[in-house]
Amino acid sequence: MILVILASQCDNPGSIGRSFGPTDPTFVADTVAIPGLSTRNIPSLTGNLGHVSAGIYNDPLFGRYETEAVIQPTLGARSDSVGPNVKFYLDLRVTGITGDTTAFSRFEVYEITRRWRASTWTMDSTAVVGAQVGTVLHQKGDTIRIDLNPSWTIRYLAALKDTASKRDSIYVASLPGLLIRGVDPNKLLFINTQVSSLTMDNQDSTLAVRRYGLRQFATSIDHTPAAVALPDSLTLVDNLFTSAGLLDLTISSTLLGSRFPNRVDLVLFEDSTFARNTLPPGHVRYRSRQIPVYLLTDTQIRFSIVAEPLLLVNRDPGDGSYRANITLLSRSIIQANRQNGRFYILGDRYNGIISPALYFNERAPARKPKLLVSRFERN
Amino acid sequence: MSARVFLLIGLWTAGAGIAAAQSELKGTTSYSYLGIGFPVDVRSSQASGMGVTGVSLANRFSSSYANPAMYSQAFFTTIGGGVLYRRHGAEDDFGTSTNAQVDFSHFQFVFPVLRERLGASFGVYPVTETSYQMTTRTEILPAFNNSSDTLRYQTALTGRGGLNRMEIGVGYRVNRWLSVGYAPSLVFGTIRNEIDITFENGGYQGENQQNVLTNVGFGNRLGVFATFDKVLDPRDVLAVGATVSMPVRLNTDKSYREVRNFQDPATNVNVRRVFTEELGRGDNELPLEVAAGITYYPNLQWLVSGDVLVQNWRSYANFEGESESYLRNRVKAGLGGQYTAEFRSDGGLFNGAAYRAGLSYDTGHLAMGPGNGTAISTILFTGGIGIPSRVGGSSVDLSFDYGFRGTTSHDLVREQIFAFRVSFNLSELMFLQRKLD
Repeated sequence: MILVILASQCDNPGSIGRSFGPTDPTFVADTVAIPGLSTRNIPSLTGNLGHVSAGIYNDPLFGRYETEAVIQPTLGARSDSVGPNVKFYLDLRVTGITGDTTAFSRFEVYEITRRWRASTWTMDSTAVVGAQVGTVLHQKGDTIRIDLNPSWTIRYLAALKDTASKRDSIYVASLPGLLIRGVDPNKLLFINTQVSSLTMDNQDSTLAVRRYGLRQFATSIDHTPAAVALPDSLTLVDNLFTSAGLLDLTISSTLLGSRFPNRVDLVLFEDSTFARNTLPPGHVRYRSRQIPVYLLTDTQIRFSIVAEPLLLVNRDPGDGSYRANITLLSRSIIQANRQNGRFYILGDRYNGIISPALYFNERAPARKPKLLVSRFERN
Repeated sequence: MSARVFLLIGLWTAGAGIAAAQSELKGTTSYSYLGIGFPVDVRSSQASGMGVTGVSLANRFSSSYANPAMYSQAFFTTIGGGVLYRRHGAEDDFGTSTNAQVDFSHFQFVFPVLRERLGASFGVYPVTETSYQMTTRTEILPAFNNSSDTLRYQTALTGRGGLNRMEIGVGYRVNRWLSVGYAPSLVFGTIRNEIDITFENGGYQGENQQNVLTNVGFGNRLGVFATFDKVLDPRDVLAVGATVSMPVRLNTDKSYREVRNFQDPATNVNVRRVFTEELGRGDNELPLEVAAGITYYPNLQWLVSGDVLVQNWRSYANFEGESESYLRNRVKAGLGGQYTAEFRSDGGLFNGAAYRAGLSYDTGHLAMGPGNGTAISTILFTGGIGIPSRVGGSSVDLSFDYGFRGTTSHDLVREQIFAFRVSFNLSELMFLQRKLD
């Protein structure tokens, strides 16, 4: 049988016949207030994140932070050429700082003498250190080069040229890593762990400069909160999970007014005025303007489980709000009739940078946390 | 025209019909939203060119559903079918629209059991049609849409489907002038009303909802057909015919279907799912239909035919068992004539062709607006030509309709209708033992 596809043409379908035909669903834009924003201290890990932090800073609003970066460079290949005048540097890439932008800060590098593991490192873990192997003075700039002491580099060279079959294990045991510690209490450096390296420079143009990335990395953090009375309408939320923001929010069709909302935005407002006014002149707080939203179960928060955020939300520069589009998630929760976890937010990305924030809470008259729901009402 | 050409046209038309049934329809009339769709009158290819239903219009070369009693007249085994092109222009107080559509009109197989004494038929043809599309583009200003941008979305309200009749019919010639017929049928069909919303702005999830009515029922048609010769003249013939299509109780299953996007919280992967919900079973009733007509043949070249069709839509009850206030009984009257050119052995393509014309007036089954409502009536002017094959009894019939439906008063819709139809009748002497080798 011959099949011929017939044409169906709709030159201009229009909306003729509305007076007796089916009626369009009515668009409805609702606002649903979130009744509470509180905080929870959730065990978290500070190893193997995108950044490590080093330095000391007395933040007038968020308190005193003393941070130490612990790193272990990778071991180069045995075949890497080594000249007679070889030197080793620690090249650190600084993503940003929190603190005094004008002050000089001294950073010291110490040899770590006991094995450690970044995968279980928490903010109160401490490294056992030995001799100082380098120092540097930083004021400005996004790169820091630290000349490492021969007492450490000779042993690194030995490991590099080690012919033993288990040279890597021997290296890990004999050179567990380096610790970077701030001396002056005026600055926190946030060091990108993906592009920082141990650099081997033979100072000979015929021999290649070798850059060895970081094998593992972590941050130890000692935090002493400031004695600052916050306005009732503000809640301090950090990005280390020690003060994670917990939203009193359970998604349901009753709450949203629809089984299948067309859009649901979780909206939070960050204070900038109060926080900015507490900063001395010349001081800054690093902010990425991007916050994660998590849906975490009680099991997850009990055991330092690092879950991926549901969303990373950018700050709207217009009104300072963060709008997380949770439409599909809301639909899934309604469909399953079960919200598997509770909504948490952080002050910034959970990436090793220390960046707390103030959010307006449910007591803020106009900028309280809320859901913006777009849906259709059947006629 | 050779038998091979006829065969090709027939196959093309039949195939096209299947393709059309699979394709999505665009709207033809917004009035088809109401009730269980807009009534469709399937006529014989001959009646199509004359504006009549054809209950009294017998033709041994042309298959016809119009009256089951006519199956008794079967001389040839005949396969009939057709393709219909329709173009509707519509206007109301708010705008205009234009829709065009090509689709399958019917299929019928008629064969003689006892030549010109007892004949049978099998066929499928539409009874009602739901075919509309209303599209609206909406803008919601920022103050009313939870964002700082104007929200833009498009709503498409679409209806598709309708009822079809799969019918087996038998016609028996009782005596020289009287025939009777009976045709039981399965009436079935799905009517799908759909809302589809598409956002132009990012971040919004559109939606697609469908209310689906699936109908099935059993119908019965009875027909009577009589011819009288030498009524006014020694050469004339008078034919009268009437049919009754009994009400059809339709069992209707109603379901709701949604297509939705989700995010799996475990994987953060977006998934698309279809949700179906059964909303229960109810009854519809396709109303009683009565048709009667008369055809006068003053000689072999000329004929004039007129008939009236009445449908009792007031008795209709919807899925919920409620009557619809906008329904009224429908009366359709048609009048037309045909001239058949003399067949000459040396003639060209139109040798022996039949030229047809007619008009019809249909009160419609809808009355809408204030008071007793304004009838959504239809007037159609019809013309056509039947081109016979030189061999056998096959023919190709071309016909067109041009007319108007409805009114723009009371926010109603006035439609300008143009339809062009190609019908084929493949006739063949079958089951005959050759007498000469």
